[in-house]
Amino acid sequence: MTSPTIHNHIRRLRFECGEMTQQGLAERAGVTRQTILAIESAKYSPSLKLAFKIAAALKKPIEEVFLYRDGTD
Amino acid sequence: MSTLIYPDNETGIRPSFREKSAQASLLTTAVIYGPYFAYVFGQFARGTPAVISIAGAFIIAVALQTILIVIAHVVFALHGRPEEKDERDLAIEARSFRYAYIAFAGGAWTAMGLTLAWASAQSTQSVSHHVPLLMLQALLLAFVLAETTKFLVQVVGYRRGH
Repeated sequence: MTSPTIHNHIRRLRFECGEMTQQGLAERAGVTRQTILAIESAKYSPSLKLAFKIAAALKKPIEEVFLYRDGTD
Repeated sequence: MSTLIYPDNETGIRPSFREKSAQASLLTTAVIYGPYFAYVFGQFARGTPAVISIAGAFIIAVALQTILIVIAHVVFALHGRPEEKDERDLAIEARSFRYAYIAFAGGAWTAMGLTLAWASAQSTQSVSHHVPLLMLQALLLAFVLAETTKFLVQVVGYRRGH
């Protein structure tokens, strides 16, 4: 059993969303590009508020952007 | 999916303004205050601390760090505008302050203990007026260690992603 983690599909969804850049997504979500990169590579788990902002920027419901794995599967 | 060409190749983490600021602060603090404390505690070790020379060294250290930090920030600002703090910046900052507090608390108690030990080890009464100066320098060391810890945790946090 591994520790629980929050995964995401931001990179793929950026591609599907008009080839949005990390900088473009960062500006829409109100954070720095480094934060988007850290979230994308699962090094940083965003707050619920930021997760909703990112999902809105990608025009997807939050459950299509982020997924929680508790390590038991 | 690995063959997909994504919108950009921004896979490396280019340091943000705040990360570069933390790196510069860590570097200047270590480079300037390392020799400063070596000089000051060397004087106490020889038993001949001079208030004037220690105060002079302190003023030089503060002035030097201020100048270097200002220059570094001007250079960083020329290569990219400072961004607003976001939640990751605040999270990294909060963690760095937690560790800095621990470092300062430990350093302050150690400073008091070492001052008492040094004072009791001196054979003459004439050293008594050096005790406040030693205590001051030991507390300054605790503060500088706390600052160093803060910047180090920030640098590591930014490099790791959080």
